[in-house]
Amino acid sequence: MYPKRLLSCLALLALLVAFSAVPLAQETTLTMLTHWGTEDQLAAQQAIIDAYMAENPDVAVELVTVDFGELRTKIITGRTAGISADVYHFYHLWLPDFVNAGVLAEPTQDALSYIDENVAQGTIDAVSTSDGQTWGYPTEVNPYLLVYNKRLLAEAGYDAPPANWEELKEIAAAITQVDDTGAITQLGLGVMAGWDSGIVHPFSALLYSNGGNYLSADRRVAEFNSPQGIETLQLYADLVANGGTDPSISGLGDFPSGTVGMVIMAPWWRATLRAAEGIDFDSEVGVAEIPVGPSGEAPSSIAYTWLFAVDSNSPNKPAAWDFIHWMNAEHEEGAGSAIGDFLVNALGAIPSFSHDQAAFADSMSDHYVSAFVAASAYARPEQIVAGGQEIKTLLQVEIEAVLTGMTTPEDALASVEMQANAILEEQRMMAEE
Amino acid sequence: MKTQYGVIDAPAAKAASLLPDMPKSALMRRRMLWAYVFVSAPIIALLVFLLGPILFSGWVSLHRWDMLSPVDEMPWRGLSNYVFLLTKDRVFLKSLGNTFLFAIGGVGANTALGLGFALLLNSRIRGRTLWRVLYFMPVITAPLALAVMFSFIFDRNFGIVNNVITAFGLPRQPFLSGPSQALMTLVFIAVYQFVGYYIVIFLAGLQGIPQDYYDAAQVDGAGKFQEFRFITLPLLRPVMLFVVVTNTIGALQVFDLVFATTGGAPANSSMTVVLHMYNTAFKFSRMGRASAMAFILFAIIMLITLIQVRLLQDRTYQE
Amino acid sequence: MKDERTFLQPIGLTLKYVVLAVGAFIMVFPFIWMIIASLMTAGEIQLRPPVWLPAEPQFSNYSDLADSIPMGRLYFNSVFTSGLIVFGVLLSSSLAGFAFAKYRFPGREFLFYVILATMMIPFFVTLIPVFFIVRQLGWIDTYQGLVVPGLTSAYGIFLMRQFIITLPDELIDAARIDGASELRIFWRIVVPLVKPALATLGTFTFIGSWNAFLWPLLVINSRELMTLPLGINSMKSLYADNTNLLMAGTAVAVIPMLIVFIFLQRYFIQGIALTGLKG
Repeated sequence: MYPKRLLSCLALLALLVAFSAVPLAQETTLTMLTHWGTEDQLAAQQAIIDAYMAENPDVAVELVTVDFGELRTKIITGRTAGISADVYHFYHLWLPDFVNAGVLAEPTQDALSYIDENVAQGTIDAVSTSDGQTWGYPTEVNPYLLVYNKRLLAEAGYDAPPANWEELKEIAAAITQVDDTGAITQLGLGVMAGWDSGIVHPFSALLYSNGGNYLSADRRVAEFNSPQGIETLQLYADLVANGGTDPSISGLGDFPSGTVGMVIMAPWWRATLRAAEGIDFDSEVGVAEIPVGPSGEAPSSIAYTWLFAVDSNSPNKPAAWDFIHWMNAEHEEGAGSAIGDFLVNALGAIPSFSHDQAAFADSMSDHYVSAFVAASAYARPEQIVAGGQEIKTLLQVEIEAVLTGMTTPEDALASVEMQANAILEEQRMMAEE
Repeated sequence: MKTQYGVIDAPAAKAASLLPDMPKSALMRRRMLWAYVFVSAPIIALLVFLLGPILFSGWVSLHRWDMLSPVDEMPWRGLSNYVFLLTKDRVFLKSLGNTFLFAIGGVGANTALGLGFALLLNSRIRGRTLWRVLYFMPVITAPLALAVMFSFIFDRNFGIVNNVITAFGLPRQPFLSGPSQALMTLVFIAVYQFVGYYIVIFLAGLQGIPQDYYDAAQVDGAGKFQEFRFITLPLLRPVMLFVVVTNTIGALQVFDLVFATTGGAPANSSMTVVLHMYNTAFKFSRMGRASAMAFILFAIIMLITLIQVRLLQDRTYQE
Repeated sequence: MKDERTFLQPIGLTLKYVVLAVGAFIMVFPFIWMIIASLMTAGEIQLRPPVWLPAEPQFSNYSDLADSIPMGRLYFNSVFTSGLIVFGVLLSSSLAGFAFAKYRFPGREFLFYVILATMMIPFFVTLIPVFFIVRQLGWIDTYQGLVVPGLTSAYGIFLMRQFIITLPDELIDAARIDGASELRIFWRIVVPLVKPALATLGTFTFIGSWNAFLWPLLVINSRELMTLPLGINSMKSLYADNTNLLMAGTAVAVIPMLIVFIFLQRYFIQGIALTGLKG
């Protein structure tokens, strides 16, 4: 009796498992993977998708979002598993790795010419590999600038933001306040430890403003271990020594609460700053160019980009490109695209397409975003290279080690340079193999 | 007579197969078949999901593999992954050190607190069940949930711990965001999570010690401390062995907690081996190096376990 | 000596309760604080000077969750996959344990050593290849991928063998003489007698699969298949700016399991205690 019941249990189990694997037959279904995961961002993306599906009833689009920290992992593991999304939105630094591994589909000719006609060359380069192939629709362009709290600077006796590193150190130290228990209640310059871009991008912006380079122009060797690079890390060490900064305080979390004087940040922060309770967006948030270093001549900056691209395994590539095009193209003269609207109005980021820059010029004309628009004209695009993410992570950790007094600027950069060059060489060999 | 449960010797088996008509042999063969039926599914599963993978992992650790290219095209790298890890990979060496510290802190505190509270609960105390339930709650809670709770509790700005200590005029602490405090804060959370489990284990061990021993000791005029030193501790040694070994093995593999709190930051001061392995494999697509890392950690775990078993067992025999 | 002890006893006893109470407070406080914070407004959490209780409990935080988190789905997935895993482990371990304990067959010793050896292999060593195998089977982002690698446990087989070997052979002989089939012997005689061991193994397996994170993180992509720990992980970014909602979500993911535990605590704790002695 019992064994029989046991066997039927097993059979049922097998059936259940088998059935859960059978996909339901449907019309064309596209999956889009993005990292815009907060509630408001999800709602905004869903609205775009719903509008597309209303116009294209035979296509269903599913949205999957993961945390930025897991996005790259998800693309790779999903890809290996053969269940990858059709449409990705990803950080352009990963582009060479994905291309080398054959993850991406080449855009259609229509898509390429549309991008060519409507996007500035510098931005197109940022989403192209060194052979000149463009791989997708660029979205946000994010240059870095010095974002500062006018009230805190004024209270410390400064009515203008720092223009060079000496002023930066002086003002940062003057803003920092330590109470009688030794607690830092107010900090001059906030850094963003624990987040690779939050550490490496501001470092690069300062390095560029000090006349230095990240990689060589041909991207074959690392060049940050230069006198300019060491000066940049020495600035960090000096700021820690004079109390101007402290890595245990997060610029990202504390600037909006009004207890941090300055942060080097990107435009998409606007939504957070507008909602912040500790600082008044209109009257207290200031934006200035990156202070110039002792070996530099003019303010410079770094800009990174994201792009929409299609998976090379997608069974619906034409539909996927059509969907991406629909999101990024202007359907009505002067109205801008759906993604442009989302980037500008939900994030505060700068869109890549000229029609979006024109259509949403008003939304970008506030004192905050307009400064970044100006900077995007001269900011150097982040240098993308196979293995770039690994190099960036190594550099992040060493910069954090300098900030916490665990190593010196010279040792830090020498160590990353050695490892970075090994990675670059290995990647080249792999590409040749 | 064991023979009734199956075939014991080769001649009998042979006889059974030669003479299928003999009822007894047929019966034995059928039993043997049943045994294979019972064993086959789990054995196949273990081969596919455990033994096969470990061999495959060893093979991968001698190559460079990004998981995207075909398995038969992996470039051979010999032992270079191992050499790189042990001589050049600063993050690995750092994470190894962190993992040891995490294990030593966690195992020490769990053993001391687990035994201490078990002794308290083993004395005449009311509401033993209630105490046990309260101490056991974190054990069944997902590490992810605890990570979220404690990230908030230890937050530098809005965390209640900092709110309380600053209310007493003490300086605000960075906890998980401070390079010198992150790892120790993780140890605290890990001890919080598992101490209830070890209390229950120690309590069961204590209750297994016959009361006669203590009665006899009291007749001899032994004090409480002497009872503990000469009866409780020696008789608890097997339980102690279990606690120390399982806790060490678990602590050396910590992942969820670190992943969901610090992610290894700041400056890798809380990076652990399995998290670094996860990053190396799935962030940097270096399956070969990650597999080598797994084997090095595996070897270390085996070694430490052997040493612990030796140390804790030998003394049992001496006494 | 004796006088001293009786004199000190009340103080000692009070001290014991104080120590136990302080420990219990530390254990329970994070859960209580999670619930308190989940009833605050986003502003109250960041208020300076801090507030310790919400001015007015925001129960709406919990109803807000329902709009963005498919809690029912998360619970279904966790219950369904953990249930299958527990069932599979109990069945496979007891069957194999029975065979190893009570049958003689060629290769028995060898296979048992294989199992003992695999017991030592930590999960992370097999992580990458198992992921690869599951991928080859086309099981990424499916229930099978989540469940099947966990259906057998070397430790479970070992544990069940140790228990079943202590059962007297005479019981099984008697059943055979009565003409019982092997499956019937297993189901009617062995299983009822090793129920405590099954409870232990079941408890352990359940806690493990209910809380598992790393494997589901790798295998599951779609929201429809997420288990509770993955749900908590995605809430971390969803509610990055709303700690009150994050706490409410975590509470919903954690509290029901605690309530189940409180009702079944005797079985949980007895089971756990058993492993310490047997292991």
